[in-house]
Amino acid sequence: MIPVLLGVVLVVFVMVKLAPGDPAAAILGVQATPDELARVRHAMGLDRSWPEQFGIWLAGVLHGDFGNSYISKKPVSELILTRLPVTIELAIIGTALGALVGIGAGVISAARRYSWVDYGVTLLALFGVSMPTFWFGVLLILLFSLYLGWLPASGFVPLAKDPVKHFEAVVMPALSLGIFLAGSLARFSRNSMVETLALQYVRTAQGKGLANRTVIWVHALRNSLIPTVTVLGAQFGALLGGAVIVEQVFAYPGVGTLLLTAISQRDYPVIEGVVLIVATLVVLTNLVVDLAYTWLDPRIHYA
Amino acid sequence: MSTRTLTVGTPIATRGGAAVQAPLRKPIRWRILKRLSRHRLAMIGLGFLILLMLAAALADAVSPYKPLEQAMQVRLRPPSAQHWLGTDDFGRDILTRIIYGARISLQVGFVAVGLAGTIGIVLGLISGYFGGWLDSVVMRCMDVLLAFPAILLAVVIMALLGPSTTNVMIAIGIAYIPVFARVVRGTVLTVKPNEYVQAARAAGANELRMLVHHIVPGVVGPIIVQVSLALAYAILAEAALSFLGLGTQPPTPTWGSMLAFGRQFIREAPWFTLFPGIAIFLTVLSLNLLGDGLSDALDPRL
Repeated sequence: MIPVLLGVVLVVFVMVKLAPGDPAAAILGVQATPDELARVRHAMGLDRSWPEQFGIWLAGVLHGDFGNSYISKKPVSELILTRLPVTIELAIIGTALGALVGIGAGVISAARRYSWVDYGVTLLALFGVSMPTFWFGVLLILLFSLYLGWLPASGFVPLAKDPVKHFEAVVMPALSLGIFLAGSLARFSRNSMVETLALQYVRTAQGKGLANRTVIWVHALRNSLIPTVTVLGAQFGALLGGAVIVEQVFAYPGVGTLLLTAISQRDYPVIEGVVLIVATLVVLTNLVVDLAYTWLDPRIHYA
Repeated sequence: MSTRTLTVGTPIATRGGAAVQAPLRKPIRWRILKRLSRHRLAMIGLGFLILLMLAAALADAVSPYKPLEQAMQVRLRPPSAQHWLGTDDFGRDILTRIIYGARISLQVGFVAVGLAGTIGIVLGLISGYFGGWLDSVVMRCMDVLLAFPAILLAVVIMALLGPSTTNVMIAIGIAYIPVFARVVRGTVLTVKPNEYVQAARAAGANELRMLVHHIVPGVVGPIIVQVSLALAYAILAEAALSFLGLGTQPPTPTWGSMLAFGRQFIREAPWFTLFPGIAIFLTVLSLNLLGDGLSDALDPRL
């Protein structure tokens, strides 16, 4: 995990260096004199060699210092920290919705293989993985906000201010984020469950007279979850990427909106900070997934 | 050195390979095609994709209007006999713009997947076939790339390169390299221990020959499936980038940008944002259907 994180840091550093424009000029503005520019460049260490600059930058990153925004002049870490909880909440609710619906539908589909329920789930799952996230968001707004008037079309209310309004605002973005996950998990968990149900120990459980429900949800589910969890882990990163777009659709003040605003303002320190944080979150999620395997399958050990 | 091993090894290897493969090869391909053609949903998907490609290629001939032709007196008209899918805020025909938009989507899709596929397949082959430190280095690099969500990576590459159709292809292409590298490496690892590969090696085939004649044919199946799925992702990613205003710039029609502009008129003209979305959805759905059909048809267990 550490080499991957180091690689991530290196990639983002190269991005910092490839970013067009002179950071000193971006900070001082257009009226800066050459002397001032040279002074700021020296203070920022921009006149040193790349490896030295990387060392300084890495030391800063490890201390949570991502530099300051070119536009608001505030520390990037502060900007990200105020936005991150919003995105993480959205991602967690989206993942939970996607996982519950997807795995549930997949298991039911496998248990009633070749029934109309199975075909229905298969078709819906296919729709789920083919639906552009942002378009699904627009459809939800059209239905629930414009025609039915049940939910607000956009905006965000902090949890502390009004919990009910807060969840009303979260529902549609989380649904749009979760639909792809639900579709792909339904497909995977169905196939995985079908394979598990054919195993000997499941037949033993059926043979000793256990209720079908117990066999499926108690005996087979845990075993069939192993490949599904892999997909879930891999999809979490995609889900965070999707959050960038979904936040834009619902005018949601998360990290994605921060990133897109920074891109339109060419505010490179903020762009780099967001990318670094999101990539780190993805790497940490993969670690959690690896740990989840040991719980699902005690035969797997990590030294 | 290697030429000598080749001259010594080739006759035996080819004879051995030919004896085993020649009678089987054609029927297997036929059987796979036959199986695919019986997969009804895959055929529906393929049919839609062929229609879409024809429409995109012959856009000048089949579109009822010009994609940039403005007519303010008919702005935001609902679907009618003159404008089957309605008009946008400049009075432009939405059907025409969707047909021209298909060009960008398909172009970006094919070029990006071609780029990701070529680099990813080469890396995967090298990694899986040679193993050792080379494998470790390549795969750690892929892990690093995979840590960046594809769409986020594409967004940031676009921010650095600036918005243009070529840059969209590059951005999406880079983002999907690891997927191909992983699939190919995994398949190479399952193909390599096979007896026919060992036999060719024992017969003295050189590394290049081994790769091209004995490893690659075993990897083709998973690659074909991956290509159809990657095309679906690439088309979604292109639409997302255009939707965010980071892709091909207006007035060139793209599905994603039409959807984004249409959103502003969602109350008075919902068709403006609905139809481009349906176009994206149906295209991606068709690619997924085809991918499912291909993976069933190529499944050796069936």
